[in-house]
Amino acid sequence: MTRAWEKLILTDFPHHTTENIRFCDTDAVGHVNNVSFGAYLETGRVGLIYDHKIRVNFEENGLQLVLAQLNQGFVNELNWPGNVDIATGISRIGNSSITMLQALFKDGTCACTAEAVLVLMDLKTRKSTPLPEAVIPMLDQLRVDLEI
Amino acid sequence: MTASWEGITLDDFPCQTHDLIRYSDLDPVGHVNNTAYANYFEAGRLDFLYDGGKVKEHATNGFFVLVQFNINFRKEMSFPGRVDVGTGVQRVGRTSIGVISAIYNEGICRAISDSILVYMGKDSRKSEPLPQEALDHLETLKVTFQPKG
Repeated sequence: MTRAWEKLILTDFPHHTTENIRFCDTDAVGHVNNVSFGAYLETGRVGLIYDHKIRVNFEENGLQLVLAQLNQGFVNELNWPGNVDIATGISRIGNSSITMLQALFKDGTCACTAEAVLVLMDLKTRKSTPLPEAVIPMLDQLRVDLEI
Repeated sequence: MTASWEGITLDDFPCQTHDLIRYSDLDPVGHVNNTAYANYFEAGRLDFLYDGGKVKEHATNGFFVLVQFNINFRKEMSFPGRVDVGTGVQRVGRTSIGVISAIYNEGICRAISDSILVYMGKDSRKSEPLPQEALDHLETLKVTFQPKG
């Protein structure tokens, strides 16, 4: 289903995590710098993988998800102090890659939406490799049924 | 953003910036982390706005704020090393500009980015039309190639 970013809420997504906005995340314009948004989004992606058994499978098989594409839409400023809520879900499961849909919220207001394409890399060859069959059902449980 | 990018080099960008890969830019995968790429791209954009491109000299009543930032990660980078960032204008709008950038390391293109910067009034904190002299200056910073995708 298609949803405008103004209508997004945290519970639209299967995985949630929170980060404290640090003073050093801000820049000379007085708001949180774009690079910090990137770090919050990464916390969400890494959290989704690490909080589930997916990580165990990847570690046992010498596999690592790496970021291939990141599209960020900055829809509102974030300001210090406070917390940022990071919402993440999987929107596509491919052969050797997955796509995650993400959003950042502060006090319920959406500040950023993002789409991330992650490719599974074999740590020995540093090349892409198909997703192990065992992780597909785990990834399926973390789906987000949204288009922003 | 694949085939049409072949053959495009740092020299094709009107603004060129150099940065150092820091040890703290690395992550446990042993390569430069994605957020460091965002830092290098930002260094390129700021050089384009200030010293190198001097865009800010023609647009003194506001800030350029990033509203859209897309990165295509093409190759890994490792420590130690240096990065070269090419930055140029792809599109000049009434209140915003489309910027295209690429990161090179050892002469190889490592990432490509397109972004949209909106001109925000210092007092209004809302988008405002770019001054005519800024529009004229931005035309001189356009890239001549047209990557697809």
